[in-house]
Amino acid sequence: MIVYIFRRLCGLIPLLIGISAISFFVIHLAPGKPVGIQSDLNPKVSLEVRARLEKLYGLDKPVAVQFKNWFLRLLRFDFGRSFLDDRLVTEKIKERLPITVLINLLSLFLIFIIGIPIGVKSALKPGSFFDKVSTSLVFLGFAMPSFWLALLLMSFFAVTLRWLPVSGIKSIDFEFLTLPYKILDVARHLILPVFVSAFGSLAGISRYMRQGMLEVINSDYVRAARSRGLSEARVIYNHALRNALIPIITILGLSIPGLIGGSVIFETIFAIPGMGRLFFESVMSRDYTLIMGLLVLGSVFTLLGNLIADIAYAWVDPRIRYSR
Amino acid sequence: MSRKRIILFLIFSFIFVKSLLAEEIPSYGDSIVVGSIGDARTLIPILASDSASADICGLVFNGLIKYDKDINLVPDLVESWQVLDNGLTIVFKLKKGVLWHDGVEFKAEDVEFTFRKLIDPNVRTPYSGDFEKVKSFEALDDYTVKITYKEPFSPGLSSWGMWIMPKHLLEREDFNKTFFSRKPTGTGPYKFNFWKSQEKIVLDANKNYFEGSPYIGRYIYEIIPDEATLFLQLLVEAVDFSGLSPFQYKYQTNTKFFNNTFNKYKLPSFGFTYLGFNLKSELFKDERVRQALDYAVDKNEIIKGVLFGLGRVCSGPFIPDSWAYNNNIKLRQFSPDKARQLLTEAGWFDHNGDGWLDKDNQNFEFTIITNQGNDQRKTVVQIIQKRLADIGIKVKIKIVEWSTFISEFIDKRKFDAVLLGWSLSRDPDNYDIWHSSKTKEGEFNFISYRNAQVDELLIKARRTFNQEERAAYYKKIHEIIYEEAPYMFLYVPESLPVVHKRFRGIAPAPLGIGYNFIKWYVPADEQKYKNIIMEK
Repeated sequence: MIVYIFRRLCGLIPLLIGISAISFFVIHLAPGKPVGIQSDLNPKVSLEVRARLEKLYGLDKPVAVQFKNWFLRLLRFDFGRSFLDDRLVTEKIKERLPITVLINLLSLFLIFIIGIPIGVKSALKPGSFFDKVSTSLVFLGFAMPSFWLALLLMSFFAVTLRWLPVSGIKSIDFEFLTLPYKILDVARHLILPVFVSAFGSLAGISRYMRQGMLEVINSDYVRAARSRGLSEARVIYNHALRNALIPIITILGLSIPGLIGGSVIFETIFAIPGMGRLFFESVMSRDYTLIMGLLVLGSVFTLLGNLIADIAYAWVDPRIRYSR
Repeated sequence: MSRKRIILFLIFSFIFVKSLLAEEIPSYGDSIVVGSIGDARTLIPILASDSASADICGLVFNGLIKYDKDINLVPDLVESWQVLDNGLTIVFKLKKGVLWHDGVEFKAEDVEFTFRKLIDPNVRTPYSGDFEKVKSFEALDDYTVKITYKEPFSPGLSSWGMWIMPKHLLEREDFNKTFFSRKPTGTGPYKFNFWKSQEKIVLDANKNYFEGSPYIGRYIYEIIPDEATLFLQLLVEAVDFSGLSPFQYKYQTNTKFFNNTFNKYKLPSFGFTYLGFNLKSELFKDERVRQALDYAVDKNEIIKGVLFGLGRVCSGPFIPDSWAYNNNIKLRQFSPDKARQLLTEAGWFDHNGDGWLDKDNQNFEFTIITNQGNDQRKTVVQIIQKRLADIGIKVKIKIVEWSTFISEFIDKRKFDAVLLGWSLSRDPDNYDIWHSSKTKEGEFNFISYRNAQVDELLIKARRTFNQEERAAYYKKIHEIIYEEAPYMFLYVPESLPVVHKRFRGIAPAPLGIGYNFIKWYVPADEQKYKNIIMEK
């Protein structure tokens, strides 16, 4: 097993180099340059000034040279500085990461805690009233544009009822609150965003669960368990559910890269300073170093997530063993 | 009148006068929450080029001079200035006793330092252009600076509105990675407190400000990137000061709640929207064709349809009603007939009867290009498309992402006509947009406008500091450009700020409402954020 993990880890390195090289060249293919945001249609910026700005940022060199310089720095874990405001890329990411991870973890938790029981219950009596209602509801959530739902909820809970804050993650007087109130304040701000982001994803997990459960329930060992006279609850929860959960573990592994990503629309509506907006803004302003930093981070997490999913799979399912 | 009634009358008038007086005495305290779509990028004044950074820098820093409410230049950090040697030299006398927020006195060396950084090739400032025209800079003593230009350059005076930076904090810093960009120290009415990226920037009143302490104790700049969310934040009174879209102004804020809670303002903005013709294209070489297109498009219809009436027609590239704007221009009134007639004169006529104008077997057909993400512009183009179709001209529309739009289409001159806007600087000099030497790739005369007389007038207007003389030149430029119609001037939108009613002392003027921000106040009994402690 350890040898297997080690081999897989080594395999990731060329993959990562390949991904970053391709991304680097692709983003340089997009028209426009990072200095544009300072100089575009600003009559105060002369041609000479613009050329000088490009030189200062090293943008006058060929793309291959730029890539080499960037990559050599990356080997020393130096992601460089953002073109936009000259701050360290790592610092900018560090600032945005916690809130995104927090919201994603909370909503992932919510999705599993609600989605799995819905799936199980639907599978036990397919075609029942509960099955039909829950299916419609989760698909409604899946189909509804999140920004629209968000605005409706904000307008009802925040404007009409005034129970919750409209947007953001802290109140104006946050610095003057004591710790318990600070936690309460953030929690109040998070209710709507977490709900909205979870609601749209219930469909996937509950459908997987329903499907997995249906397959398991009709299998021979479940029938055998029943024939041994075990109670229905034991059959379902001890025997069937454990096996039906196996595909869910894969999904969990594949959700790992999603933890550090965020949706631009969602974060914009709720005024949450998260990773989605950071990425979007970096692309719109052609902030090459920041885009690359985010892409490298994203690919590392994706590759690791895949690996973890594979390992977990082997661990829970004795039928699967990896060759040495 | 009985004695009782006289006494009653006196009592009432006393109460009345007293309440008036209470109104007149401003109180210190409270905070203002300003809602903004975008976050600042850097608070180093000479690097800041976006509007959010400028909002904050404007409160933290001062320039040597500034614009007053009527858009005239007045002293800011200086006592006075003199223009000598026919405009070659400017001498500034600095105010004495002005302190930086850390207590050090502001002196001539700070001005010199700021200037040196502006022209330093290793500093990534976009503003060096105006300052490179300076031949020499001398600090005569701690409170006098003398600036000599290579040639007289009147727009140079307003460039000294550039915010001045403290030498003692920055001389050993690398400008491209200094702490100062996120923790600035200035001389302005507000001191920097803290900044959480994409969340908020907080400033506190500078009690020792040289024009007197501002009344509002704290300035909170909240970043709310979505327009709809920002509007909901106004509805729950979590934001005190923000801008509205024309639609919100007209249709969503006429509620009893809103009118009781907010004051809405309507001020002309410093910018205009236009349709620019690529004069290198054969289609638009003939002046009559451009005039015809101008006749064919109803500007009032656009203002009604896109801005819900919250804008005004403009005829030239200057701030409406400013000293440079020519109010005597006779506008071309909407007239499809006149348009057709001019086009026929120019040889464009529906010869083959297919409904579209043609000349030499070519239909009159072109593409209008504009940038993505601006719905107003998209609608304007559609209205123009319809109006030109009415007179037999086929217009296609192309909408392109901003960076691509600039680098692939505008810079490379690959367009027939472009719908864009210019914001207008307070100084009317617009040499870079209209002078024929500014047509190289990446320069701003991208429609390739060329007129020897305009060239000459632009230069003359730069060489004199006499406002009346300059005004005459700019009015002539205005007239020529409108006559030749290289741009179809469309409108100047209104800027539509709203401020919570508890703030008093706001007096709209040509410059807007923000110019006297330090005089805004909230009466003591209406203050909202009392728990926020001012002193740190």
